[in-house]
Amino acid sequence: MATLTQSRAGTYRTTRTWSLRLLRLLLVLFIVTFGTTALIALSPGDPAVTIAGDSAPPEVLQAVRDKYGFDDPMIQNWWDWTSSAVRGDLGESDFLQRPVIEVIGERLPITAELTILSMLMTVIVAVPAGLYAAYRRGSWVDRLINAMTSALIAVPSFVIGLVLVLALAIGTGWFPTSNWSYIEEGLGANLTSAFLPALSLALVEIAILTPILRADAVSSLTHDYIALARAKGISTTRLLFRHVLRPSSISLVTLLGLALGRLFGGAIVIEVVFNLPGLGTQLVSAVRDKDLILIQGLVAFIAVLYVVANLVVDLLIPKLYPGTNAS
Amino acid sequence: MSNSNLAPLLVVDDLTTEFISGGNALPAVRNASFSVDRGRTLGVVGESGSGKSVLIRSIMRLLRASDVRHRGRIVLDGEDLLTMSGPRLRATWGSCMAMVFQDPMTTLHPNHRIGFQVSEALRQHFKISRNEADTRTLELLRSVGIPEPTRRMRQYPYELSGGMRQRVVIAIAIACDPELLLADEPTTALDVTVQAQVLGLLKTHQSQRGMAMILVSHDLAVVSSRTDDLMVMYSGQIVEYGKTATVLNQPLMPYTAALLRSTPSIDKPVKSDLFTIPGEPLPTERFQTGCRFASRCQFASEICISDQPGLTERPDGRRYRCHLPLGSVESSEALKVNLARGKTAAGLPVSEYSVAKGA
Amino acid sequence: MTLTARTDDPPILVVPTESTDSPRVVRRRRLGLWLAVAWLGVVAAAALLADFLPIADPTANVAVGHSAPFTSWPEVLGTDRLGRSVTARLAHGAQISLIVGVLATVFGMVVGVAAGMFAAIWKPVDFFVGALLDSLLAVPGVVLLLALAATMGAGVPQLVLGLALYALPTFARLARGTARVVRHQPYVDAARMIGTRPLRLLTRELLPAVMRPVVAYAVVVLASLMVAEAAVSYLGLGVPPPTPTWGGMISDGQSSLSSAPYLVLVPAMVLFGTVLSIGVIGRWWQSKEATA
Repeated sequence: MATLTQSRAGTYRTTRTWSLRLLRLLLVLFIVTFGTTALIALSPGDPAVTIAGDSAPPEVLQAVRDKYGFDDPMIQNWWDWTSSAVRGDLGESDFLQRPVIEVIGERLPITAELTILSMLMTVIVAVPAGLYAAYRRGSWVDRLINAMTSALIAVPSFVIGLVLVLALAIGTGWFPTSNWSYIEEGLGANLTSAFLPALSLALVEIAILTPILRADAVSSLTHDYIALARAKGISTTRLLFRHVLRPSSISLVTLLGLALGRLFGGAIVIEVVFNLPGLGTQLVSAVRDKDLILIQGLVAFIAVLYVVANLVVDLLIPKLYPGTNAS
Repeated sequence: MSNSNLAPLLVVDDLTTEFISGGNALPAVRNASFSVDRGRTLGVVGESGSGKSVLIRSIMRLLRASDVRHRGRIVLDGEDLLTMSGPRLRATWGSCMAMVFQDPMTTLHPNHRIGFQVSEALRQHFKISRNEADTRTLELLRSVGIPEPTRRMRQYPYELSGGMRQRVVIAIAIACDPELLLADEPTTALDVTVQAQVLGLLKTHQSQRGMAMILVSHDLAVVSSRTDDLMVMYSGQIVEYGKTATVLNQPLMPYTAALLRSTPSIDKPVKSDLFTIPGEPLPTERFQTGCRFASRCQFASEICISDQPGLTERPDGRRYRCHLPLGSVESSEALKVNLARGKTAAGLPVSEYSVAKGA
Repeated sequence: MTLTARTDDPPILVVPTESTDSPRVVRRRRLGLWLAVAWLGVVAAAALLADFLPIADPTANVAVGHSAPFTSWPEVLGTDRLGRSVTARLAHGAQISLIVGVLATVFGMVVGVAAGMFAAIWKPVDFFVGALLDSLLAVPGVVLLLALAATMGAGVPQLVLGLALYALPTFARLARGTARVVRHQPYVDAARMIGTRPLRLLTRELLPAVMRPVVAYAVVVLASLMVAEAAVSYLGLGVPPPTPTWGGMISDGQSSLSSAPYLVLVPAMVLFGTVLSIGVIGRWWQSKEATA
């Protein structure tokens, strides 16, 4: 009987938390999209002038105002934008004379590839480094990893990018200094052109995430279930990857969701460093050109992508850590 | 090396374990020497903080090399564990020695299924297929008394009770038929009703498989009926050693006697006061010139303050660490002197009442 | 696992401290700390005294074309492509970096702590503040700064606003977390029981306890804000030229990266040294705070 009541209370609680979360998610989406709308409405000066140019005749300005509804209340603008955005229409860039969604579709693959590649590099380096540093804490390897990560964490990714270009592109000629090779031009060329930018982004994340994993692994290593696993006679590699990694990686996985946001932000700068035709260079030129509609679309798109990615991470976490959901 | 069955399975020779902290070496086990024969059970008792667990983990080599320093030798089946290489040690773990931990709530990996945790040990030491490992896991779980083993194999530790989890831990420990089983307070964290079952289980498997076992406990009752030999530890030192029955019937070291008297028993009158040992145990890392128990001992005389007693061995194998062993003339003389002056040489107040209370 | 439960932060915020350190490690760390303080002192002095020091006008062309460091006097650090003094530009760039960084940190801290504390003691506020913070986090820092630059133009106030918004969630979460712990400490309960009014309770009991870790944290946040400022300046969307900024200098130097790498490396080293020093001091302060 007692267990039945408990489980009912549990179900009620989960339903409640889930509906609260959903509510919050919708609120976040509203704030983000409304914020981008407000950005245009609240910008000093007449947005119509910004779009049409200083010398535009009054009737053109009025046409622009009508088109974008600058005379309407902000909430009306938000509703217009959101309702068409749901249908896949993010408006049309005045400067490029193209639909925003088309521009995003063209440029997203580059930014996405950069982000995914750097995420992979981060995990491939940070996981073994963090685990090994924890396992051999206090050793010279641990101190070296600590020194490297704490120095690296102070270098902005665009500086890392420039130094990498200097050392591995100009110095040796192994990699191109800039420009992008699309996958259609061959996977090798594509990966070669993506390597340095992705590495620049990854090094910063490695510097951030390695110490986090190390700290968690250090505390996991003190647990008796690690001693028990060890006492089975398994190898150190197996111990670290099969037994230590999982319970030590909860903050790491949670932070990977945030790392995604950082990588996206970093990718914008890195794309400029390497002159890559991704969302970042597009956003920077949109800002230079005062292409407000394009900016609105890009910012909202990036923010929603981030929210969704973090939702996925949140949903994934209980699946990754079976056995811990009881507490 | 194992051809001579007369040689003890485990020989611990002058083992000192120190923790390294901020450049200092803090001893936790001081100059321990003892041996365990094949198939025998050694009980180790002592208060918490007496170094029992550190001793067990030292033998098991589970303390981090950079945190501790070992001196002396721990010879298992002719091989010194302290100088053993990593791969050799891994081969020894599981197949030659295994351990049952204190708290089953924290000794099973929370994210792995029970079946995986048991079969991992099997697959590590025997070249067997996954299926075969699963079959043997099933047998093992059944042999440690887990109902519905097929279902349990697919469960996570949080779905099992403490007693069930400790059975799983035992299954893991005996999976590869070790010659030595180390049990570090295996029932302390369990319900009283489950304690006897788990201890019985350990005892059954020990005699069936002919394992040697070291059973650590702070509870004399746990140890008294289930061990062949008994070792008493105090403040990092072995203070008494002998056949379990003899040690319990005729303790030579006042600490053992005090420990016995402070154990509740149904043989004693219902409302009799429970004896308590005055003072606090001396931390293992603290330096002391004389006997480490002197400050709490009713018999303490001047020699106990000035000279550290060694571990004396009698012809019958009994060992004790005391200048004035109980039952000796010196011992009763010292008590008389202490009663006369109302306090021991260490300043502990003594009276007829305080002596009689536990007698 | 709700969105608020995250221990997210902009970079450089991790404090992996060990409880038992050997005296040698402690000595080495102390040396690092003093070096960091010394370097920061030099940078701060250069920023404060940039207008009074006997250095060239950062916008004047004192030479023809670029020259490497340590090849000419008085331009010890060389000149850039337009023949402007690198020393002078670094000193004036330090002004922008520090002013923008410090102001944004302070604004972000004040608003963030207020929001975090109200969220900690008042449930409905918690929900909305949480959603607001999530929304701010959803926009990467650089994107936020670019969006502001696009609509409000480039300049110091816009940078400060953008960076403060970027830092705000960090402070708010830290303040909220600390306040939620402190709120149920015996001494706060005691103050409540003797009839202290809520507002007074908030300012006299909670605020001091919350501010201690927050201020230690602020140093580390400052480092990450300086990095963000440099990134935006690098993109040419920070403080507009001809005002010198470190990020702008790096961007200028990039076009001659193969022929004159020092034009990138010198400001990059200065930026690196400053961010590293602030990080070292911040982490020292945090670990001191954690053990106190």
